Amino acid sequence: MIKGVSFVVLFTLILSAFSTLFLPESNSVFYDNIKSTVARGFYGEPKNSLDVIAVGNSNIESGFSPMELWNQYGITGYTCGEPFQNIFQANNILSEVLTCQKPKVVILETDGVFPLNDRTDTLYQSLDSRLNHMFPIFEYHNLWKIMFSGNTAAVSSDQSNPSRGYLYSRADLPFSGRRPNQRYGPVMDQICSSALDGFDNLCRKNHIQLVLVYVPTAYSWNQERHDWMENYAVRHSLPFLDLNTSVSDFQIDWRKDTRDGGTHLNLSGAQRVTLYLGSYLHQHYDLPDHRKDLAFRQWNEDYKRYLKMTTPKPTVHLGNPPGKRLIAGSPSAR
Amino acid sequence: MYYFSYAYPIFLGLTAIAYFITPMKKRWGVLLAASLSFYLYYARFLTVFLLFTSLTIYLCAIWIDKIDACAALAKEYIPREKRAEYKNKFLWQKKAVVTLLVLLNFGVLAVLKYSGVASDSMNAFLQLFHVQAHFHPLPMLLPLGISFYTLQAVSYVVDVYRGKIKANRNFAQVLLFVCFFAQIVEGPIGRYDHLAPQLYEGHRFNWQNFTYGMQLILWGLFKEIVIADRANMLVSRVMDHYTKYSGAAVGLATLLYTLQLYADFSGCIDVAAGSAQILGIHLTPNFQRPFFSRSVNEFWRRWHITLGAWLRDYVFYPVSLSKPLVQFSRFIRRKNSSHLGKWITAGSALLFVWVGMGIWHGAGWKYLAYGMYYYLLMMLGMLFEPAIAKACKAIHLNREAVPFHLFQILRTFVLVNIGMLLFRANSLQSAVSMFFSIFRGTGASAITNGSLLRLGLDAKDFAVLAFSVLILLAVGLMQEKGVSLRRTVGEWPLPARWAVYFAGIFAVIIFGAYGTGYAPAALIYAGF
Repeated sequence: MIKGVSFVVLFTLILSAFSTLFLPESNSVFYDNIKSTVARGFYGEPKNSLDVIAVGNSNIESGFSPMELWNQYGITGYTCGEPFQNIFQANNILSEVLTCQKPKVVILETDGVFPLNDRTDTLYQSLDSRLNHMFPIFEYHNLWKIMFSGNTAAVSSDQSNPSRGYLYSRADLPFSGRRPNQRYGPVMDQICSSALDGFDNLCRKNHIQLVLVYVPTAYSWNQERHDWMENYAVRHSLPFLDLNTSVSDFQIDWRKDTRDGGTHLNLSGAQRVTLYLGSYLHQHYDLPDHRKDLAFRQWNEDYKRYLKMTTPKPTVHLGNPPGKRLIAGSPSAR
Repeated sequence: MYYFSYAYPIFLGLTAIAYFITPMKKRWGVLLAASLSFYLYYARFLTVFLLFTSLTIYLCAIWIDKIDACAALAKEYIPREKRAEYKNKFLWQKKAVVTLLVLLNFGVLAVLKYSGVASDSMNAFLQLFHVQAHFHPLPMLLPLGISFYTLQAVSYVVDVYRGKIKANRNFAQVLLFVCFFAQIVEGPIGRYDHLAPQLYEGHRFNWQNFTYGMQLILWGLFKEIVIADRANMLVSRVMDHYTKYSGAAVGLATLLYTLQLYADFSGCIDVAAGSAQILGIHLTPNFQRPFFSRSVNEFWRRWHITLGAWLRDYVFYPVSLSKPLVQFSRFIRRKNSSHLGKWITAGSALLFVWVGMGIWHGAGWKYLAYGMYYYLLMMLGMLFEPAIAKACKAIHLNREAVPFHLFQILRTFVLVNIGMLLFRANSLQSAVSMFFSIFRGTGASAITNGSLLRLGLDAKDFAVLAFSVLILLAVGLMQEKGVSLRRTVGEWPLPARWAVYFAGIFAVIIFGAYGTGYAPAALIYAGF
């Protein structure tokens, strides 16, 4: 018995040691096998320089552009969105953000809050996420490839992301106009709901204003989800902006604003969403305008880069082959 | 993912705790509850098929037992001159019960597994005659482990029929024999006389069983997560889009598929056997270092051993001893008593075995071709064996020398790889196309120009695979020499022993092909 307990204790200690060793010090590794380095670009930002953080799945990654927010209101923001990010991962990434940033407002995209499959799958997701958070080696074990190549600089140097986590796309594939009559599993379950409570508590504990947002998406949104989230927002005194329903002075154009027939927004859609959210944040929260602040001059430089990246060049055709996405900030995008 | 999920260690741990704290005589009840929960979770409503099989074998075995009891009574009370007549009558009744049982259970298997191929084939056949009828396949329903538990269940009734074992009157115990969680996914296919007593008698916790079981589980995880899931990345990319690739790419994918299938199947069996051993239950070995085989015959005695043994005991022997085949053999031997005569009679019985082997693996003509491929290889080997022996003698070639053994191992390996290509391909046509494409396109230049590194695996992944193969080879060599690695490591001083365990565990955690950038492959044999 003593031997067994000693083995488990020793194993946990070694696991923790390896987890520290494998935890990337920054997001700087643009590497295939490391999860969403772009979403973790906040590591590359000066400490406590970000006022708004957006968390969620690919809907927010494609639908909220912090550089547009900067240009309009001078608010510093970062999109920590990544494909299929669930509420458990959202909790993890917010915890990571809080190790180096003190955001005033957090936008939570609510699509990833809802369970995709049955309760057991949700339980797996929750367990997987907790395990990855407790022992990051499970998430970052593939860093051995970099360690063995001796390219430690790639792991240790910080690197910011000029589009601040936004996934840029000019692709234009209109939505057919009919929402499919499909449900994505149960509307909500206790595990996801508790995780959302945890997210809310984390924000409150750190004096962060939480804003719930449902970015326009033609497929996974449904009325039941809207109703559940609206009810949750009322119970917890949180703002809920569902951009899928008719919100005053916001209208998505499904003919022009989606890159893949309604699942994700393109640049035009992201600009609409960001301007709307920017206006809301500007009106409701005390977020400083940093545009004339010399400490933030890098943002102005990055905005020029962002503009260059997002403006189509008239003479040389730079369009991506159909279906290929360009990640803003990745080497191929520059 | 059955044994390769977060839930499984929790499930196994809880089962083991419940098992060891339950009174000895009732421990089998814990196994039944755990096995049914495991099965219900994965198979859901398809569990009715498992219940159907369990119920039919339970009833048929009792029925046969009752016929035997009647026969024994009859022996006492019926006059000697009428005994033969009654014996035949009882034998006929028993045969009828077994036939009914086999038809019922293989019927269910056939309907669930083969209706798609049957309807497709029938439609294609009718089209030849411009008949406009159209058969619709039944909805795809494949209960977990049906191909494995059906064989295991049928063997129970046949063994009762043969008088090898007595029918069990406890339905719950029969159900446990059919659905034991450690072997329901991919086998090994157990036999009642070996497995059932172990399941029903309680086992005390044994530290050695626990550590040996854990070692086996770790070894299985290494094979599955480090090797099989990694190899799958290249294999699926090339073989699912085989028309885009040729030459070295297809050759490499074939080699890696052989490695993947071995690591996947034997890794899953290791986890199953290790789980059972923790509970004090020893499953029948299913692999015995198959790639050290010197012939295709030997390969099949070392690969999926329990399936080969099942086909031997329940197909080969009954067919060989059946009246028509015995008469046919006598006829052939009368005409030709030489090697050719024996070859024809052996080949006749083996044909059934290999047809069975092929179609057991799946619904599709390629699986039948897979069985026939090995059948042809074995028949050719048997046919030419005397001539080869004579030729070797003539040229003074020592067939027991190491270089000749190595040649035989290599030859078998190549032949097995061709079989694996057939096994993995999406259809018979694509298998043929892939095989010939190996000899086209880029050859050695693909290795030097780096094109092989653009097939889903980078140089470091290849290095991990190569190193893992070396470990498999070294372990295999030691086992071939009779060294029990588990016992050897178990006898080392604690620091050295734990160092090995931790090295193994962290090798799986660090070098495992899981998480972002990898897609875990489904267990291949669980699909059967």
